This record gives sequence, structure tokens and C-alpha cells, in this order.
Amino acid sequence: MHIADGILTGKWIAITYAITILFIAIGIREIKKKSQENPEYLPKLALMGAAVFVISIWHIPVPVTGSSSHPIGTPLAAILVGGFPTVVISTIGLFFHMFLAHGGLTTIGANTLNMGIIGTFSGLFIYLALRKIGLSFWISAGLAGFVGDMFTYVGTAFTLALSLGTDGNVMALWKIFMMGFAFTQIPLAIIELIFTAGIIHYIANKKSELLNKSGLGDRIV
Amino acid sequence: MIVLFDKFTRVVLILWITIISITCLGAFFGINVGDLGGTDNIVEEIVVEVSEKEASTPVSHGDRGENVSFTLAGLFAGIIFGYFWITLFGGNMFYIKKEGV
Repeated sequence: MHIADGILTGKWIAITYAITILFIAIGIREIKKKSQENPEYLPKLALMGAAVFVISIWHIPVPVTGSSSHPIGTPLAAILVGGFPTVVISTIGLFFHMFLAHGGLTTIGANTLNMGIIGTFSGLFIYLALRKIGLSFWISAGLAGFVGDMFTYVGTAFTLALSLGTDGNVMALWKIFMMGFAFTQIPLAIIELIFTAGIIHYIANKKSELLNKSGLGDRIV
Repeated sequence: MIVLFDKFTRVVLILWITIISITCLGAFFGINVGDLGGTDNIVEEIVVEVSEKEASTPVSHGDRGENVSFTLAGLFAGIIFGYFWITLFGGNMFYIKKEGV
């Protein structure tokens, strides 16, 4: 989902940067507040930052489709450190991905929008909704990982279609870009489901207080 | 008596081994089938077809440079991850001492 430089138009670079900056500002405020309340929060955030950085560039080949792609890790981070702080660590991770020849400087806004905002909050919404109706930690977290992963790529295809499309062909372009991602991404979303479910279930059993202090999760976990 | 790995940890380890096996299997097929390029590259080719816009990146590596940079990135991220994991979970999380034995 790393959109490279030179693809998006100036208008969409500006729009995606503006949305991302707003979320980052809220995220920084939330990080400051939570780290004052809980001394364990900053180590947890740093741990998740390193995890998101690696997971979101961990290319896994899918032989059936003849291509490779990567999971995103942001639904897992959102469950543990909260949605808005995840946007901040995603942006930092995507900045460093640029030095690994992935993404670009003008597209950090768009890439953060897709992976750090759409992937994060779609996954977190699923997790909170499923926990609210009483499903277990691992099912809720696993489905959050799956949905967050797929929505990241739906968002990326939509960002490209909006930027490159002209009147009337945005949805047609979205379908074309989505076809480029979808078949490879579905098996990876299943892998994301497995490791998100496994890690959250592990933490729920071993150190459940890490989940109890996770911002949005406080309300129902 | 010290028991290495509780039941859940065993399950998680099995899952991780499964994921790594899938990755290794994919790599094996990749070597035999040919280069399994990333979906980003596929989509960038579609972009060229529909808009004639050429993707570029501020930093580019050759094949070997990419391997080296990914290894270094993974190494440093792993060190950070491990350091804070121990801070949060302690260093003996895999061991459960059975009561009364």
C-alpha cells in the first residue's frame, strides 16, 4: 500500500496531509496525557512502534498470485495503545520506510491516511463492537486485524482512483487498482488475523492490565 | 519442577512456526517460479497505463542494498521491540514454576 512519489496530484497530496496532521495532533495530545497517567504507556508505545514498522514492511510472497505484499500491524497497535497514538507511530514508521525505498515524501500523508487512520480505526471499531457483544479477545482482535488490513488496501485503491480519476471514472479506476491488490492481500489479511488474535489473546492471559489501559478499550475491556 | 512454556505459549509458538513456514514456502516457490514482485509495483504499472504518471522514490537501492537495509531495519526494530518487551513483561515470561513441586 506504499504509494510512491510522483503518482498523486498536488490537490490530493494537500488533502491527505491535512487530514493526517489533524489526527497526529490529537494523537500527540493523547500520548502526552496517557504517558503522564501511566508510566508503562511510553514503553508500550515504543514497542508497538517497532512492531508496526517491521510488520508493515514484512513482504510475504503469495505464490498463487505471483506477487507479494505485507500486513499492516496497526489494528494490533490500536487495541494496545489506542487509535490516535497509532496514527503517530504509523507516520514515524512510514517516514523510515522511505529510506527502504518504500513510499515517498509527498505521499506520507496518503499512506498514513490509509494504513494509520483507515486501517487503524476500521480495525479498532470492529474490535470494540465485537467485544461489546461479548465475543472473546482473540476472535475480536483477529477480525479487527483482518478488516483493518483489507480496509487499508480499499482506502489505498480509493486514494489512487480519486487522485488519478476524472469525472465519472473514479469507481472504475478503484476496481482496477483494487484488483491489483485484492487477491494477494486476502491471504495476508488471514495471516494478520492469526497473529493479531494470538498476541492479544496472549496479552489478555499474561498481562491483561496492558489491555485495560488502552484508551478507547477502557470502556468495554 | 520448571515447566518450559505453558499451553497458550505453545499454541502461539505453533502459530508463529506456521506463519514462518508459509513465508519459507512462499520464498521457495518464489525462487522456483521467479520474482514475486510486490503489489505496489503491480499497481504502479497500472498507474502508468491509466495516467502515464511515473512512480519515483527519494531513496532507491539495488537488490543487494535492499536486502542489507531490510536486515538492518529488522535488527534495530527487533532490539527496540525486545528491550521494551522485557520492560513490560519481564525476562522470565516463558517459565511457569509449578506450585508445590
